[in-house]
Amino acid sequence: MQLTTTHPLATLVARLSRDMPISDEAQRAIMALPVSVQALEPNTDLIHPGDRSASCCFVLSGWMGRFKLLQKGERQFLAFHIAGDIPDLQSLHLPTADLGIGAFTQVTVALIPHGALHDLMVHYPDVTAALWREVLVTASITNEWMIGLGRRSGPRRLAHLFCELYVRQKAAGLVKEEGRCPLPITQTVMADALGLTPVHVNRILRDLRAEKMIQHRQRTLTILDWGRLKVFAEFDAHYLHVEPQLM
Amino acid sequence: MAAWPAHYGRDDEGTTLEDFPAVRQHVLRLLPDIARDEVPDDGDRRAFSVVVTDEDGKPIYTATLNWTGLWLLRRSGPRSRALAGADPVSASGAPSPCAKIAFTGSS
Repeated sequence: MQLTTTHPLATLVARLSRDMPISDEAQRAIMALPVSVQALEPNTDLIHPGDRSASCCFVLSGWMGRFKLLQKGERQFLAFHIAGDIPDLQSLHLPTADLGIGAFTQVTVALIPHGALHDLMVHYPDVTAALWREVLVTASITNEWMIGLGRRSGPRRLAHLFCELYVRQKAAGLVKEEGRCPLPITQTVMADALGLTPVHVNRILRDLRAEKMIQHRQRTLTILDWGRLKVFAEFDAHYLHVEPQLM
Repeated sequence: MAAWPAHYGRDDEGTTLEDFPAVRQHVLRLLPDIARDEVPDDGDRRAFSVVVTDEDGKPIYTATLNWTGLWLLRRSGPRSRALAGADPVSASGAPSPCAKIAFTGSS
């Protein structure tokens, strides 16, 4: 089937059928979904906790994060999302958001109304299966983050996150040069994902640089020694459920 | 008296802290985290200090965390197992009693 790669729904088809079989008929039905493309400015929120949304968003470009704020403004990130992710699939069945979703960078999203997705799932169980798989992988990543918060030291948490973000971007076709990938998040954002303070993240980065494992400059992560970083982070990419050759 | 190695680091990005309680809370989170990372395996006396400065670089708050560890029994040979980890197995094959950790509180 000929698909143009610029149409947002074509990207969604490619993404879902990457890991699960989607029939030609289902692919055509996805291409026929109503969709609106929205651009988000850096550091703006798409969804606030408690919002009732009417659509799911599919990230076309940029980085997003799911987060919660506590009373005194303490922020915790529950996930980072890159192009190809569908951060708010749960809104299909749980329409009131418990987490906020915001953009770190310039972001474009494709918004698809819930009704249209429900219709699609009724007619095409292979699409339902693919969306369900997405939710399971998201949960798997969240589990791994929790393990890190509970039992990894600060430096290993950061190293593990870097390994994860590299493999995820590689799977999404966003790695142009081996060993190098975008990392457009600040040290404060890293800290808020890892249960650390920014001062500590700064120190860990400095140590990882001194150990010649990574370099983080101008929003780009360079992995200088993948083997050592993987071992240090105790990183096993299995939980990401992507193609084995990427691990 | 031996000179302790001093490691100095500055935070590049800076963190915005709204009020004085927030400053203290931040340091309270930071110091134990760093100490946990940086008390070396063979080091039982370490002090970690933080100085918080305002936007103009003027120091406004400082705190120090001291770690002092001391073995109270004779250790034969290198021992690297954490107390709460593996049970040491005696010659008969039966596990020896684990150490119990008691917290004595703070002054």
